Amino acid sequence: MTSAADAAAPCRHVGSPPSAVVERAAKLIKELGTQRDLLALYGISPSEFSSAFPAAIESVRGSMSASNSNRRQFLRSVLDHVVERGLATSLSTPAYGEDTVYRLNVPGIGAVAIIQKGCPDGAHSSTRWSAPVWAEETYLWWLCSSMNTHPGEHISKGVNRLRQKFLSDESNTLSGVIFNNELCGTQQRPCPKRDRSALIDGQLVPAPCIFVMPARDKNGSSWNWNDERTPKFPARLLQAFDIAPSEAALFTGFIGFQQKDNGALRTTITTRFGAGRSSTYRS
Amino acid sequence: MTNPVIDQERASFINARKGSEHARVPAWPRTDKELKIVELEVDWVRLSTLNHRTKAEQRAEVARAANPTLFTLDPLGRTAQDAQYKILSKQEAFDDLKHDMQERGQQEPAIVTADGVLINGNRRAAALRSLYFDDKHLAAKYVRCLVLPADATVAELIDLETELQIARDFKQEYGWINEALLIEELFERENKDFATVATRMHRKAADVRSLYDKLQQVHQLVDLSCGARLHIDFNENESAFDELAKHIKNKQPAEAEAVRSVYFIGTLAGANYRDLRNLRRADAAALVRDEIESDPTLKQILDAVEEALPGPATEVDILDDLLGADTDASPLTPLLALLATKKPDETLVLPDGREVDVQDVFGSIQSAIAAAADDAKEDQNDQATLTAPLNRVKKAIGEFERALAALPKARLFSAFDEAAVSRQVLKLRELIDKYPGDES
Repeated sequence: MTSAADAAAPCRHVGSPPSAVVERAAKLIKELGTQRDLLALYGISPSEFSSAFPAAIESVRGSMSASNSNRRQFLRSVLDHVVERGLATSLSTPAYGEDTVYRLNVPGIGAVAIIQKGCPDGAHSSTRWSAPVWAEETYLWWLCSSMNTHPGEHISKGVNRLRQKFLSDESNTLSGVIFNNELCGTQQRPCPKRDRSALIDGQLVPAPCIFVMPARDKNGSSWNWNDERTPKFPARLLQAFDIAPSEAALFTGFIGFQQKDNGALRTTITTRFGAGRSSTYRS
Repeated sequence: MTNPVIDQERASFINARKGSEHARVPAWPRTDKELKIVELEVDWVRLSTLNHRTKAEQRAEVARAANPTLFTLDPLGRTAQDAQYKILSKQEAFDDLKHDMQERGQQEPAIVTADGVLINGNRRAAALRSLYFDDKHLAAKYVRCLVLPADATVAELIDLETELQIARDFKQEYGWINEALLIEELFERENKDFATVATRMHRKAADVRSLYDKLQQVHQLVDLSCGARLHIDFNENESAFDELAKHIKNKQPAEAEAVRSVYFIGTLAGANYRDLRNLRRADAAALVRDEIESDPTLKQILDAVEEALPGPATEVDILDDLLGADTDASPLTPLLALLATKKPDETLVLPDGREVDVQDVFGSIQSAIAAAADDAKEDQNDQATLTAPLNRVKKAIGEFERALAALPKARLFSAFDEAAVSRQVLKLRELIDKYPGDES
């Protein structure tokens, strides 16, 4: 289950089954339709099982994964905490298309938009968004409970999708992406920043993984490759986790893109998680 | 050279036990290769502390016990023997060997000196000892041994060990560090002649020299670590030391030091040798340093290093002590000098008083090296793409010039096919006509 892209995040999942076991379990589920005797015990014919199978999988997925309201609650609580700590003056949820978008008013910055998304791998969570016109800075907040791969690979896949959008869509730019949800800091996803956690709704939430995105420059061939961009919100958010502004650079990662003369594209993702602790993935 | 350490009392004991059974030992360097066989109790025979297969482990044990004379003060005494037994019983596949000895018994006799020190069969004797004392396996009480003459010299013993241990039909691999240490010892004994060492080792001279060369790099890193790292710690890094030693062999001192410092830091940090391979270039240390310097989490470590080392002269001095006064310091020299002396479980104190785990720092440096290596690889690919047309055209010109030079001789033969050559030259002209020229 490990891959080079795991280096894009500081943590690894613990206790998720090996991919071979997952594949065997998937094979078992797929072959259930041939088990007439077993199906009969449940009063289902093989043809009924076959036709009901996709809806059943959807139903199981829906009940097992964190519901949208749970996600919203987690993120809402974190942002409330930012306001309670006096780092933002207000939090609102203006209607904005199909996405849940939070608006934080942050002294010294202005309006900051947080677009709530699920796991970065999918197109919906990485490319289907637009930056609100009112926002001074805009962030995607990936709430990802999937343990299919380690967090770094999830992030890397999301960033590759973001790169396509970045290179094709001039009107939309992000200030950064944030990876953090209720799984972070638990035994399943131990966090090396656990000593920089905040108690939010009874849960110790570690400081989020923040990655600054490049700014657009249509004439350029290298975007934030050397960590040139410094938006203001990351330092403010980290303060909510008792990370002083002077230390913010030690906890703020970045994403960079590069286009070579022959058209080949490269991506760099660096995660930072304290003094002497960083990790970079280039592809 | 005679063996000065024969214990006459023990030699007499063995002599009294000798039976009539003999066996031929082809590896014994004398013309009379018949040796007598005797059964000795497993706790009576002494383990050889000169066994080259455990040299690196012994260095580690000496460092752990902080006792430089652990194996030399009284090699046959209880302390040294217990330490040696511990080393043997912790070696890989020891349990498998024990199981095999329990199942099949001792198949081949061991070889002991006249006073019962094992020259060959140390692991088997240790396995029997463990079977007998730990597992109460009564059949393991005795070890069958061939006994060497009392006048066997140290040189003969080393020759015998070399023959027995290095021969490829022998059971367990040495581990490259131990093999290289043996080569180094033989090299010194054989008037620094690799050809002779190679003959004794049944290996090619180039292989022997390669092992020797990479061991010299390990020596430097171990020395640089001031005891924090031991030879045995680098048993898994043969590929890295191999590629380093080969690359720096004929390089200018500055490039050699740049690449060496990257390899040393990378090896300490656990970098993959395939990544390090991309950094075999004159600016390797500068590339890695840039990567480290641009990372605020690591910049603090650099600052700490430079604060700890008062000035440029000190940096050079450190390296001079280790590598000689001619060595050029690389941009990574101060960082290497500091990190080499740190064990992964230690902490580093930053200028602001905070502490960071050395293991974390190594992890971050490993990642920085991988990133620098990725850039270097891209750069090399770009360079290859950039120069490919020119190089190929140059090569084609060279080939065509050779073809023209070969023409007169070929024409002397009646079977020469001039028309075929003409057709190919025409094809060449057509190809040349396809060259679009400068499109800029």
